[in-house]
Amino acid sequence: MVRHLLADFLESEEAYRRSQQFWRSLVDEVAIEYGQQGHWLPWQRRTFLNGRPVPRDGNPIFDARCESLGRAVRIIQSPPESDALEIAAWIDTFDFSDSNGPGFTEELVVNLALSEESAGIVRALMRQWMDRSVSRERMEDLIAGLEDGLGDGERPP
Amino acid sequence: MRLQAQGGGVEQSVVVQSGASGVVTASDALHGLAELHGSLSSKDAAARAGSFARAARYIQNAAAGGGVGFSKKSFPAGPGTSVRVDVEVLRGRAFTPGPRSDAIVF
Repeated sequence: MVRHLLADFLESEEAYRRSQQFWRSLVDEVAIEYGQQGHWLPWQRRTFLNGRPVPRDGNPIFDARCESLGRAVRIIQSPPESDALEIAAWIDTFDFSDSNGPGFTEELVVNLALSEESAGIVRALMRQWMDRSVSRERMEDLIAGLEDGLGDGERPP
Repeated sequence: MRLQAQGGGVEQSVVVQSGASGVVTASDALHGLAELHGSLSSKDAAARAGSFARAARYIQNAAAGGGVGFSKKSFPAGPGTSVRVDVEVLRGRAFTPGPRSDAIVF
């Protein structure tokens, strides 16, 4: 059984805002460890083309990209569906330079229900992801190890 | 733009490419989404039923908002799984309101 955090984030604007701040703080804290304070900036648009806001549905609850690393992170947060650890991750790539958007980027995407345990795993993944010596292949190995360990839903961070 | 079914050992994609009119409407994208759905096995499609529904809702919302520029969205089947549908707008504008255009789906 995990200890869920802000499980009502889709029902409460305050909880939603606190969830966003939670991820901002977590990423900023790790960034400081790697001398990347202020380097991880939002890149996804918050509005559609006519200015209408994109729905605040937790997808994503947080996104940031580091220009100097060419890496990004995107967190998709959903309400918990069980008392087990609910987290998955994958590495993606994109290049929006043809649209005056971010250039070639490797992106760590995490899909989770927020709990103390899942947040601990994200913190550990971010410590690797912000280390430029850690390759994409190494990250994929770490993620595969994470998935292997999730069979009983009780894997500690 | 590209629509992909990913995760769980599946990697299937459909591209919707604008034609001479230069647009990809929401109707074009929804047609592409249906093509992607139809290309999957019944098991893989069922596993992503919620993902396809949320992706379609996103495209419809985007149309109501005038469309989107470059963007990347993932619609997982639930928390804690990599089984998902990805929607990626690489360039230009997509999901604009309107009927099917001359965009090509392949």
